[in-house]
Amino acid sequence: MAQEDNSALDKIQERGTLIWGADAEGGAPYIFPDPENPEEYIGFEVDLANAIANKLGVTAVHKQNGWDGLVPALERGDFDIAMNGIEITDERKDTILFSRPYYIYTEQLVVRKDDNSIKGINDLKGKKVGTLSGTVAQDILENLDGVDVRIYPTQVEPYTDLAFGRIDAVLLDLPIAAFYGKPNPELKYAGDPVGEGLYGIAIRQEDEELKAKIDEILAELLRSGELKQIYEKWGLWNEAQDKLYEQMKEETGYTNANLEKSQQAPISTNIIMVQENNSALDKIQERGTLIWGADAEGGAPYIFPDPENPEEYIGFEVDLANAIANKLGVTAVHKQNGWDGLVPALERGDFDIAMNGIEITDERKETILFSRPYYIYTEQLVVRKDDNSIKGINDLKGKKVGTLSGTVAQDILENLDGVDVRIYPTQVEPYTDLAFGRIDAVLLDLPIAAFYGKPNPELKYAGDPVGEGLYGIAIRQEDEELKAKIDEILAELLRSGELKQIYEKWGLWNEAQDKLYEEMQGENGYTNANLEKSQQAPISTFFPALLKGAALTIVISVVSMTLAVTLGLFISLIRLYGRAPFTSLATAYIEIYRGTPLLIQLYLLYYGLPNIGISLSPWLAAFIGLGMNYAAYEAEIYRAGISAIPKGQMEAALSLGMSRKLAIKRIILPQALRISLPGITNDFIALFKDSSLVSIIAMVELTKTYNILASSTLRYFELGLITALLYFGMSYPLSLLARRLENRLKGKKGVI
Amino acid sequence: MSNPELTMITVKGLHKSYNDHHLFKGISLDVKKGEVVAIIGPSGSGKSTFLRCINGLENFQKGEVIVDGIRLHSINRSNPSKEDMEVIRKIRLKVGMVFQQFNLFPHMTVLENIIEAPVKVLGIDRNIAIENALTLLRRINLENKADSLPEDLSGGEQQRVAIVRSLAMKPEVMLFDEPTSSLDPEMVGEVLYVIKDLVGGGMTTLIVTHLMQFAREVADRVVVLDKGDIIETGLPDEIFINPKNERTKSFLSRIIDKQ
Repeated sequence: MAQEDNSALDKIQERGTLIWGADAEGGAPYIFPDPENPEEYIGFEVDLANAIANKLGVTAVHKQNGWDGLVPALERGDFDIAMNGIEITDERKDTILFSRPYYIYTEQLVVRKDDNSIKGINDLKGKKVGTLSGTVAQDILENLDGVDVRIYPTQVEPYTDLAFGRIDAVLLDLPIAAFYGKPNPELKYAGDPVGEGLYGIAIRQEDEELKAKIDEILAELLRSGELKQIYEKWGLWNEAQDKLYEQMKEETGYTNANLEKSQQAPISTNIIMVQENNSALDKIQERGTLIWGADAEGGAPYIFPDPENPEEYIGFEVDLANAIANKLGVTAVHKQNGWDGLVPALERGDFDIAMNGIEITDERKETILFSRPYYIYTEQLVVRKDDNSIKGINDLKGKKVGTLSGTVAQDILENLDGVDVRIYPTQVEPYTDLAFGRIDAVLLDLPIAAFYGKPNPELKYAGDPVGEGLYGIAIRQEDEELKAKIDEILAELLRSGELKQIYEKWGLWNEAQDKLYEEMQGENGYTNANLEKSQQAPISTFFPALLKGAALTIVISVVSMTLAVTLGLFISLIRLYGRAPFTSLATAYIEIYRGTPLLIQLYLLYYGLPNIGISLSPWLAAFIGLGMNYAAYEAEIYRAGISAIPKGQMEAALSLGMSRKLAIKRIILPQALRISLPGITNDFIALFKDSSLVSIIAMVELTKTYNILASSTLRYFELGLITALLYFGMSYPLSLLARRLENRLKGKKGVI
Repeated sequence: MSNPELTMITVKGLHKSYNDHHLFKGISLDVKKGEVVAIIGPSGSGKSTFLRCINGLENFQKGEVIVDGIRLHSINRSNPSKEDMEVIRKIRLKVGMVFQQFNLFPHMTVLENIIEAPVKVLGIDRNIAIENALTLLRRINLENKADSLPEDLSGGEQQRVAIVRSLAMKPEVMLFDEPTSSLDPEMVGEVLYVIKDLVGGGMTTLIVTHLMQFAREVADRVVVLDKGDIIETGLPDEIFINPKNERTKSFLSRIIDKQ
């Protein structure tokens, strides 16, 4: 990896987002789609990610990634951190860093309510017990004698199977058991939780600075009680979590220093609360809203109706108001007020703040306070594209120049000699008139020029921006505390990059804004961690497991294909020679099975049928699922083969006194099979690979074995190559066979 | 009608339509035991269809076919009753058929082609069936080809095998549907030789052919078909030397010019 200028932490703060990887398919209560709004994810890890991001002064952005691939994706740089119930293991520590643990999980055994034979983990001998691959629960189960361990792909399925009676118990992490097992009226907890593991946030090995920061934040969340709050919300708080505190006490160094710092913080906060009980800031937080005044008629890009949803206002000041309110822990509420009357209305107490491209002027400062500037604006001259006579503000003599009243631009223009200044009431009109040739130029604040002038194909910028002014948030003179808070927030937004993000979104970012940063201090202390690969076990140690998976793949494929060719033959014969209603049924079978995904068929067969009282074992479901699906395809191959046999063959057989059945069996099929064989062999090869789909019904065949091995060792590449080779080794002989059969047929005249 | 004891095949008032085409409008024919009937006529006149109605390869809408006392009525082809199927099978056991395209089973050797039906349909012991088959092959001089596949035989050889394949079922009637039309000219003779040999043995035979000389040589009676109708029937010499029907005359003059 090349050395980079910026640490991960820097990058996070620059872009203003903390990108975290997690598998939303993995499910509740970690991260899962909100049932009320499935496009949003919720879960305790979502809450935690937001809390951490908040402390970093950035926004948390979730990035979907399959659970098995989270660590490799993290290392690849797909996200800043991975947090998804990842256990802190020594094995993983070889390749990645872990934050301090954020949750101590235990494994909870769940059984059927009517089952009193299993009272704990020691009663599992000879029982079928479901779990997920790569979990501590799996380790525990496999270290027990005589337990029939069933590996499931997702969290909900073992509990469904348990309720259906396919398995006898489920051992999984308590959060999963609490969410999926406990609410099921047919299930109950059996015995006390066993085992104990730690969830940690996975961080790239070189990002030690980020790790230190996240550790600090986690300690803070723990101390402040926020973490406990999150766990209580999700029903995950238990005594085991007390150890999170114990662990913290054992820690030394900067953490202790932080502890002292934060112990002081709440006290001082309390003092302020007591002293200024009725301050503006206090009122804002009491009512939970930050009311801000702005003139939406003033227009884009400050605040204006959303073209797609005119009842909503958008604009960069709307974004900024929301960001500030967010930092205050409240909601921003816009209050409409004409621009000219914004300051008087603020003084009257109509809103908490006014923010609407109000320039910071000494004049205004006499009556109101201004926050630190949130935007440095310049005045941009805009002319018609074909007009080369105006190259800057000094070429305006004798020209008609449009602007708005009460703006710095107006001041500039009026101080120039011989300029015909035209004052317009709104922002769009000067640009329209300019395009029509009614005026020669427009001088207005850059945000306005950027939004109304630049996109117009007939207009262009003339010269560099001139003048320079500061937009500030207007605050009542007595609300000094609020001003201080807002200044602090603006500084934070600036530092975190959120402000820049907002401006970039609206095309308002430019070099001038760098001055906003001048007060800010850059961070230093970048450390480069050395990437060191741990010693790895020889790859041959994985062969037995992979070969076992391959053997299962072969068994599944051969049995399913046998079913498919038999059933397919039967179906094609009915379709070709059957009587009226059966012919249609056979056609319907073929069309339905070919027209729906195999995956859905497997789900229906395995998870759907129990709803109507039919419970198939995983083996049976796999055979029937694959077999019935492929039967539809084989039936069509047979049909093509049979149709290729000349009519005379059947007539000759019949005229020799054969029955139709005998003629089909002895004369038609032997010839049709030869024609069908290459197609069937091809399908067999395809089925070999499709057999990996049965991993969804708890069959650990070759692909699933690979997934499990690779996710626990992170050796996706070598294991992937070996797995692919195994598949190839199984299917290539079949390909050769298919080719030989085809050649034999081609070489033979008169068969078809 | 002639004495039923002596009649092998009776076709009575047969009606047959293809889609919209009404081919047979009550055609009738009696064939005596041991009689050899040649059916001639222009293409499209229904000669082959007439033969195929006799052994149930074609259905018909009205009338009946009686073969050696077994009565076949019109049948519903899409959903035939068990009784109908049984009748058809009984008739097929009495009636052998030789096709223009030979229709040997390409996946079986010559010997297997011949013994397939005797063993599987009649239940004859395989060894006996093989013995019979070899005897038949000796008769047509092809015993050395017993283990060959049909694709390794000439057209004439294939048709000769097809004939003895039918004979292996010991039929009482033989239907020949243009047996030489697919053959190269130099192979016609060997097939005609086998048919003549068979006819000389007293087998009841219906033969559809374009070879007028051959028809005249082997037939006891010639039936002239035109547009699904028997327009003339008589002794070969009568038909060929002194046809009474104008359409027969014009057909014969056309076909003899060509030959």
